[in-house]
Amino acid sequence: MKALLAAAGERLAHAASKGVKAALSRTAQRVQAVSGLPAQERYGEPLLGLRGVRKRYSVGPVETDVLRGVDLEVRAGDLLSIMGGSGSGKSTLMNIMGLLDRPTGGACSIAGREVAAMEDDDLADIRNRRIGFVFQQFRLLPRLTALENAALPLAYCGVEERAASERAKAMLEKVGMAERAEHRPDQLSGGQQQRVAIARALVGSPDLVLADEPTGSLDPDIGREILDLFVRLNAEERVAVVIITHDRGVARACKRNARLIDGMIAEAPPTEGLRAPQRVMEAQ
Amino acid sequence: MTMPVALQFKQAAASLRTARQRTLLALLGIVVGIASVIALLTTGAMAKAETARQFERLGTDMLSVFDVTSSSAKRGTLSNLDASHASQLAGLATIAGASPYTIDRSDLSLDGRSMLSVQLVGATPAFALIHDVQVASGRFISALDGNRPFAVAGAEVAGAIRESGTSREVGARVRVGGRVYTVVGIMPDGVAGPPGVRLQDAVLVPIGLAGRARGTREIDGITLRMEPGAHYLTATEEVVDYFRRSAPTMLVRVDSPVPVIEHMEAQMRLFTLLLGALGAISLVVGGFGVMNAMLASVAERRGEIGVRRALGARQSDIRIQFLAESALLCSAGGVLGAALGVAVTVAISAVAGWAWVLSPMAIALGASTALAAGLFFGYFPAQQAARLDPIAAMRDA
Repeated sequence: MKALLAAAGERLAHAASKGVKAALSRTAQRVQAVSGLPAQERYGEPLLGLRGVRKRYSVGPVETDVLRGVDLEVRAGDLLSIMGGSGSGKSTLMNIMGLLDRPTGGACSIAGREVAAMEDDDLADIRNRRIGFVFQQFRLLPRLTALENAALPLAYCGVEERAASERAKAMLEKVGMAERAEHRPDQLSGGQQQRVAIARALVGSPDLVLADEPTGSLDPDIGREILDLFVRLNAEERVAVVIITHDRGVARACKRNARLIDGMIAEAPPTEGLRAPQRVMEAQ
Repeated sequence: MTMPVALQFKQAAASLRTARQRTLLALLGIVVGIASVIALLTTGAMAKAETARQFERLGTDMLSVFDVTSSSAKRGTLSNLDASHASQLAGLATIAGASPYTIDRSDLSLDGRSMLSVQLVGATPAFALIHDVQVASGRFISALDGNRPFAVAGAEVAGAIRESGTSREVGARVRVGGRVYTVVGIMPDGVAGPPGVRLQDAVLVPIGLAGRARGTREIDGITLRMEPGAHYLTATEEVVDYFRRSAPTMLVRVDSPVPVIEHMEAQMRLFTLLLGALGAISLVVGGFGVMNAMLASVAERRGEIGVRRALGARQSDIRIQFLAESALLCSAGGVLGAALGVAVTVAISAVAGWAWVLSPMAIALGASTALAAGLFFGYFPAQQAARLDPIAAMRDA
């Protein structure tokens, strides 16, 4: 286990620029300054908790248990990968974590609130404000420009159009897409589209970004850049990132790794896994 | 929180612009629907106005009195409708004036040559007043003429006299009904007399002379003009009452154009309603076109709907998004349809020679129906979009 963490740390250090370190320590300082507590203790408050989550699909008389008791916790600032083969229930897990689906058993809570008790509109609002989604196929709206796509989540929380546009522009700048703000998705490459999608996921300052195979349909080099972007934003924006992947390289870049096998988390490192990159930093 | 409605409409407009072909086709249906509602309702209104105008010419303040006593019942009695009844009827409270008349068919000859067959109408000077007849030239017969053989000729009769080569129509001497009359006046074309009289080919002579030719004082009818504001039923009642007292054996019929007009108007209302229903049917067809287009749009954009839901759109946001599109589509169709409908009515009025009437009611109805159709036919697709399971929506797309 320790070896794995160390390996992940190394990869991370390799992947992330020195800016990550700076950003991480900046964030730590900021948190400390705000709370007056040591960063180590503030960092990593529970964000999303799954306890014994089950999901059963019924197609006629046939019942399939896709998730069979998943325990998982995501904390603020996490960078977690969830690996699993096809049919392991990755997507179902992501849908439940993203409040797009409800478990048939077990409990799911977000920011201390039980999801089971929430109305559909509440779930939509939480998705809007606390969760950002990044999909394998980018899923930008084809008729909207990059800027309009990036600003879309803000429209659903009533941010005034001009302000939304400003924030989306700032976010496009962060992902390196400011130049192409007025381009439509079909005028952008896959990597560029994914950058816009990441800007869209982050524009509402969510606590958590869920990325489903975000590099899955990109060339390896471009995928690497996107991964770097996640790592950087995780540090700079202090947003927890959960990446669902089947790519070991991606998993290695994350602070923590979980593995979904047969509908259960087979391996979930302790949530105070932030130690790993810090140890790397100390080592440098 | 939900998306501001203004932004929803902005995005709806953009989306309609993008799916141009489908938008145009759906628009076409609603345009035709609204246009036909407006065109048909307005055509109905124009036809109604035209009919009303034609009946107005008959005179809504006129009553016609006829003796309908059967000849067998008449035998042995001396009571016939005659000119004296007219002067007494004129004295009734609800009656302003009375014009008795006789109608006979006779040949007219000029200088010993038989010219044409005319209606020989016996009348009093009151005729001009009651039937609102002004002469085109010369003068009407007057009370001062007494029973002197003066005649007023209809427009076609005057035309025939002119064609015979006589130097002037007024002053011409014509022979009708066994008597020579001097023409003192010519009536213009387009005037109307009592029922059964066609003034164009009539020769009007003093009623006394006409009676002498017939060998009886009996007349064919009396036209009454009511006092202004008098109701036709009250006046009719008074007239019937007069005859009940003065000539109890006589059976009299009193006609008013009012019930005929009312009947015609009721029919026109039915006609307009029918046309409106036809228009409504085409509007419904157009509406289903919109619904079809919206359903296609929802099916095509399942992925978008899923993404929007994932990004935090509530069901109501999605519903409003699609409702905004169909409302916008139908409103645009309403405006275009109203313009087309009005153009069609202008064309119809030109072809039919009717006065063009712009029916604001039809336009208001058409426009509001367009919006209502947009919301009504857009609701089902919008609801379907809103109810989509976001996961399924994204998976299929």
